[in-house]
Amino acid sequence: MRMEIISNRQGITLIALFIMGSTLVLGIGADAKQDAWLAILLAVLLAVPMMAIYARLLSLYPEKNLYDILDTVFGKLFGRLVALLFTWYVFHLGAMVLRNFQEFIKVVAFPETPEFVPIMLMGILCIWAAKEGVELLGRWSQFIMIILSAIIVIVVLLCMKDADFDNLRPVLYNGVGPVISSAFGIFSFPYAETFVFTAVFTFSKVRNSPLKVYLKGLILGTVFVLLVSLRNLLVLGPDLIEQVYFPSYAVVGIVNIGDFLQRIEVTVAVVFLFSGFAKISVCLLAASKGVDYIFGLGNYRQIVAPVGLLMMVSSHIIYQSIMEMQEWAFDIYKYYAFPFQVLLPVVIWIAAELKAKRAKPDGSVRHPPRV
Amino acid sequence: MPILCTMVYISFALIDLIPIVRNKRWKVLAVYAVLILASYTFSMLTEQGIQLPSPAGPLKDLVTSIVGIPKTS
Amino acid sequence: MKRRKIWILLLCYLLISSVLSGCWNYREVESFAIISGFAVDKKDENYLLTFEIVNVESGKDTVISTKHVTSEGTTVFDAVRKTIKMVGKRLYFSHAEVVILSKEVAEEGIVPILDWVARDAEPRSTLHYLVSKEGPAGEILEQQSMTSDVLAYELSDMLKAQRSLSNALDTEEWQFMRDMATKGLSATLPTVRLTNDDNKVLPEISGAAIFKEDKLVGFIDGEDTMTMMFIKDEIKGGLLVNKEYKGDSVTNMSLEILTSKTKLKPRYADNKITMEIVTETNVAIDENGGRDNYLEGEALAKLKSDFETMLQDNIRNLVKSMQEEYDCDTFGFGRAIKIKLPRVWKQIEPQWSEVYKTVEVEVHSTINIRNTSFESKPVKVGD
Repeated sequence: MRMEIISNRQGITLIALFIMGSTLVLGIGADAKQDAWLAILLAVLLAVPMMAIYARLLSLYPEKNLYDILDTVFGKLFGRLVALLFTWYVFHLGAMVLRNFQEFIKVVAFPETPEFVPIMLMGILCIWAAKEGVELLGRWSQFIMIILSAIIVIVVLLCMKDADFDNLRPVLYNGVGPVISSAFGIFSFPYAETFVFTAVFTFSKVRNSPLKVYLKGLILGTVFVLLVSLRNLLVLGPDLIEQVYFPSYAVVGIVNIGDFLQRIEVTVAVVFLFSGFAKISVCLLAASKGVDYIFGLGNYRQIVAPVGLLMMVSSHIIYQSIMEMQEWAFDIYKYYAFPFQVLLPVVIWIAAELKAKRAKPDGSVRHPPRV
Repeated sequence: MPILCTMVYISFALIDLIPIVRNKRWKVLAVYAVLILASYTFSMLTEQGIQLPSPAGPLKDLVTSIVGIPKTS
Repeated sequence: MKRRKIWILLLCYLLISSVLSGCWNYREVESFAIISGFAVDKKDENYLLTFEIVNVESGKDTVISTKHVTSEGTTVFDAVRKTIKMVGKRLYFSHAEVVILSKEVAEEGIVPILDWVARDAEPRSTLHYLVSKEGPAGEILEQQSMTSDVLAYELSDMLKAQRSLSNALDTEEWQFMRDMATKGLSATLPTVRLTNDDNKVLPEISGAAIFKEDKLVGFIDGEDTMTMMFIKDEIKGGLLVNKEYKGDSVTNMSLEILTSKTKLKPRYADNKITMEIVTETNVAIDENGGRDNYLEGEALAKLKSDFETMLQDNIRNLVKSMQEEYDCDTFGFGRAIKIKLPRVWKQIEPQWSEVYKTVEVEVHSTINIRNTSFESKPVKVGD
């Protein structure tokens, strides 16, 4: 199987797109009301140590991805069990994002289109992309990031006319409590989800630095998330943000320059399309590699299609309505994801470090040849 | 609509299965077949309107029982 | 290999071109009835809606005409859908710019209408709300418009033009929703009524409707609305008009507002809240309507202080009437306190209705006379 190495920059833009994924459209930090931006910053701080752990895993085993690591560290049986858990998580995540995407399209654009149509179209594309591999995603994300950045910045500037900085005040009116609990939620969605990348990235020892990629990707993604969240807060105010399903869409609907530039909500849809595609494809890639490892198939590419199709069907099944989706995303997800995002990685990391210590003292590890 | 769906499944199957069979990778074929048949079945059932069990409910109950009633945002 | 590739490519082309239009179905423009605006009245227990439908006929010249339809329903959306009984097409709201509410509907509480407009994806969040001061809202919409072909669009233009008059505060749907949701601020909407001018009936937009929560509690006229806009820092243009007296001669002075800024500064001392209202307005003298010269020297200084006093008095009086008559925090005092003195707000918030009445107001207005427009002296009269 050929090595799929991506450059640092591609990794950074891919992580940034992943972070922006469903975040930009669903909105985060609504609990903290006008302090949502503080919650985001706090969440970044919380995320940094976790990302350091994720990056460390990749550094310990260059040119290996998570499943290879699991195999080395836990052995065939236990490794496969852990992989099963993880594969379930990432599969579920992909289905959730796909469902977010479909609900968005349904509410905002095509209420009369049957549900499976956007899912199918997006799904087919993601399957194709995942089949091509992570280098394709990396190259594509480099290119798309530039376009999306331009769109986001321009739209944010257009919204500034209706911005009212008083909407951010009084700072910390409700105390630090909501900020902290909101930050925990933001940590779960989207930051700690980047654990998924350990299954997808294969870094070369010489050319890449996983830590740099993770941290720079974090910062790049956060810049845009923060920009958009601030914009939403400044224009709508914390009270209105609670009322709508998709705050970004509502804000952009207000832009009306000279009666000419109006109803530019489509830009929000386009941004979500691209970043959502990135996120779903990454999840699909990780899940396919997981299935490949669990069953010892040898090449994940051949199994992407059925996994993808299953993901598409599942996205339809997992929620009965957009209300349930909302409730799950904001209330339950952060608890459900915690074992997958924190406990599991920490356990793997500790085991990996121990194993590394027991091997050559220079820190590198002898791994069994790949099957 | 089921027709469109079936077409999609068949096209994927065709594109993927030919090299798999040619290379005699039977394990892959087995996993592939199971997964794709499962998802095809679920798609057809969903099209017919039959509600399939979702993990959302049980997982929500599991979480609630451990953590307590989560605050609604 | 080549042949298989060609088949696959062909399949791709077919699939892609079938979805390239991006639509699942389509609706011809002709199958829509485009609504430019609608009015909401009450008839017994039901809502009576009046719609202005825009008809575009293209031919040698594009002719735009409007038709009106009324419909009754138990709820707003019910009335909307029932129009199908009369109109062959489904109503399309994405081009609606104006919604007029009748006095009765507003007094009852407008949340039912707000809900549908906000929830349905078609109406834009930038549409304008108006309250009909006298008479049914539908009647206003049914008038023939003067300058444009479509009355609703003309009303929307009138609202935007108020920037230069400041007799009414143009409020878009999202702004109104935001103001209603905010604690410590009572929302307002501009009012419209029909005037008889030379036997021609015209809609006139002037003044404001004061809401407490979501119910209408009163109206204020155009002049008071201007003062209200001063306090709310919403002045973007307009005129300040006064008369100056020197012995027997009277001079009419108009100051054209260039820019204006208002700051609300709450202070808390000895269990008492004082709200300092500081306005700074840049003006140009646009009319020195008389022989006396108010454009320089002492007279100019007197002019400045006279206008400042006038503005201060207007502001003080309006606040008082809001506190006593309407008991509505229309200016956002509560919000200002929350922002600048959060700890105080936390204490008084539950009793804000009472505390609001006791707020003392200190007004400082500064008027900077930037220029006297084109002429530097009053009109010269020889004999």
